[in-house]
Amino acid sequence: MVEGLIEARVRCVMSTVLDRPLDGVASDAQGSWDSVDWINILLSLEEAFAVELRYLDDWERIDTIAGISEVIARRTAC
Amino acid sequence: MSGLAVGEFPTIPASGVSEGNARTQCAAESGPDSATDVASQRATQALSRAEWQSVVFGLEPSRLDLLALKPSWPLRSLRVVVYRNSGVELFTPLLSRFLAYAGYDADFSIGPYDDSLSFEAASQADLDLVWLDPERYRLRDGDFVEWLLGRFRFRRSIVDRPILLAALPGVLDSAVQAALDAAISELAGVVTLPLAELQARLGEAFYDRDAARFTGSPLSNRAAIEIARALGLVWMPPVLQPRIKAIAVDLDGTLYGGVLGEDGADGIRAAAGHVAVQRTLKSLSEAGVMLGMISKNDPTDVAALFRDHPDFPLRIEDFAFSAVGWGSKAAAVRGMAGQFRIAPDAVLMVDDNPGEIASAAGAVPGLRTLLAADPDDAARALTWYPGLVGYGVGAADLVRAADLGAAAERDRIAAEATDTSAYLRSLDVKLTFAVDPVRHRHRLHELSMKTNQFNTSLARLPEAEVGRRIAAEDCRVISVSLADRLSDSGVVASIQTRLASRTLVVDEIAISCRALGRGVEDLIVGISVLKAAAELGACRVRFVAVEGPRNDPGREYADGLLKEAEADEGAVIACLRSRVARVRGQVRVDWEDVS
Repeated sequence: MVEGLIEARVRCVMSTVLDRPLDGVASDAQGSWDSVDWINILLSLEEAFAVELRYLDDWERIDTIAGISEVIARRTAC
Repeated sequence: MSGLAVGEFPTIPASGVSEGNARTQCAAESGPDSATDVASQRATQALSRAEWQSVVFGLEPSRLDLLALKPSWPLRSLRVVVYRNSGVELFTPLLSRFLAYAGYDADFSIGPYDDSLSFEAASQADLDLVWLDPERYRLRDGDFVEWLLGRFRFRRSIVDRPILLAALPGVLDSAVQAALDAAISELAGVVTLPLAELQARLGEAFYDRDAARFTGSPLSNRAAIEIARALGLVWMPPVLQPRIKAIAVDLDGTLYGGVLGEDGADGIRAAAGHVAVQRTLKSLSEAGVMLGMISKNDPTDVAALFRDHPDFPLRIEDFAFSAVGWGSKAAAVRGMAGQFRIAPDAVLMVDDNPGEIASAAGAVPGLRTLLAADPDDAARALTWYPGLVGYGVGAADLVRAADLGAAAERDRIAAEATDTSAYLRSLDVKLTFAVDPVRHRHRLHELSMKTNQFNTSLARLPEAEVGRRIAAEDCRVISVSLADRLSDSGVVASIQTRLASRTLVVDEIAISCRALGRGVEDLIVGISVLKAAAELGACRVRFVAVEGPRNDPGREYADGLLKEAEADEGAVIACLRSRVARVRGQVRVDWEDVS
């Protein structure tokens, strides 16, 4: 449930940064955004959730919306 | 929070287009079918801009809030070329939002990472931004300064547009940094950005070197946001647009809490935010921005208010204009602009009432507005407002208010004088001319950029071009300073000339409106042109005259001279001599030594 709420908020942040609605599937891969969007997405998510998402060991997990949401859920729970 | 969407507007080039002109074009293209529609659209746009205030002037603006902003007012296109050796992508998307608030649709052309500053791909643009991380250079001593200066001299030699240099702070030794700043300041139109001030404010939060692995920059998110804000609101506008010259200030709710007419002077209280607004306005006034009081109140109540509140930082004498009554604020703003001899688009209106903001913005094209609904926010906004800050304080700014204060006395003397000669003699007028004065380069550039009425060609010369002309053998640039017994007006005229086949081409005559109507136009133009023609060996004079929205006085003066010479360019010199001889004896004329 918490992860679902977080994912909804992540989608909202990403949609604002990308200035378009995201498609329905939670598989918007990192590679489909350009580097400026990616910087803005990560920094905006860090702002919105007051967490740090920048460390290399998590990068492989944050290439999908579900992965990002999972990392945020884990970090905000700490 | 985003602005209200009231329609899409086309953008137009930044260069050579005044704001008033831009608005006219945009209105015409977006198709409102009556003056009422246009006024209504302007009012809605002013309120949309007011909605942005809480984000762009916020204590700590958020990246996401900034990215969500979408402008709904006309923007001028602005092309910025970025040369860099470090990441700028961290702040350019945010910078575009701040520039939109300032009225620009920014298009960034970002070059590759290039430590050598080869300045490749020089394209058409309005502005260069050079973004350097000095950490990437092994040698950071005097040789580095020399090398960098050489790169900027090269860049300056191939483009005229303004160049901004930002070097990440805290890397160079302070003596090297000072040497770099001093060397760069000698180059016309090149400005170094004071990033160290931001670093001092943010302290350790300025850098976030861990983040560099994914952002390509050692800057923190907070620093990136503040840099974008400083660039968009404070550092870029001064090289792109004239300064706001006057502020029209409301009283109730803006300078203090309460309603004067209901609470009386005793019932009025200024909260800390109101005091901060007053202090900021006072310091702007001391920096040459003129203040006008525009309030729906009784004049006797207002006089009592300032008398009974010595705690107010602002005094009634700080206001060079006052319109207290029950008329429309739009009419009062127009009256204030008229008295100050400035265009309404050089006025910022500050008011806590959104209705008054909308009404005045609708009725006065080009008027800038700031909604002061919250005094703390308003005080902060006044320290960031584009066009108001970041301009430095020039001699011209400091003399402006005093000069206009003397205008009423001059008008009285003119009314009593029997003729121009008597008027000039009674004022003890002195004109000081200078040929190719390097020290007035920036002021001459300002006159070319700012004057609208007596400007013969609206050439809008970049500072670098003024510098090039001052140094050129075949050009003569003349500055003219004006003083009388009432005030010293400083440098009030710029005359740009060059020789072409024994003809003196007068590319631009720009005279400040503060010097107009004082009976010295013939001397300013005549003495300058005759001097340039003599030095360059010209036997004919040709004036370049270009029609603009408001420059009839300048063009008509040039046309009148040519008509007097019966369209014979060879006879213009004799006409000028004759005009000068008529008033020469009534005015002291001096030449400044520029060697």
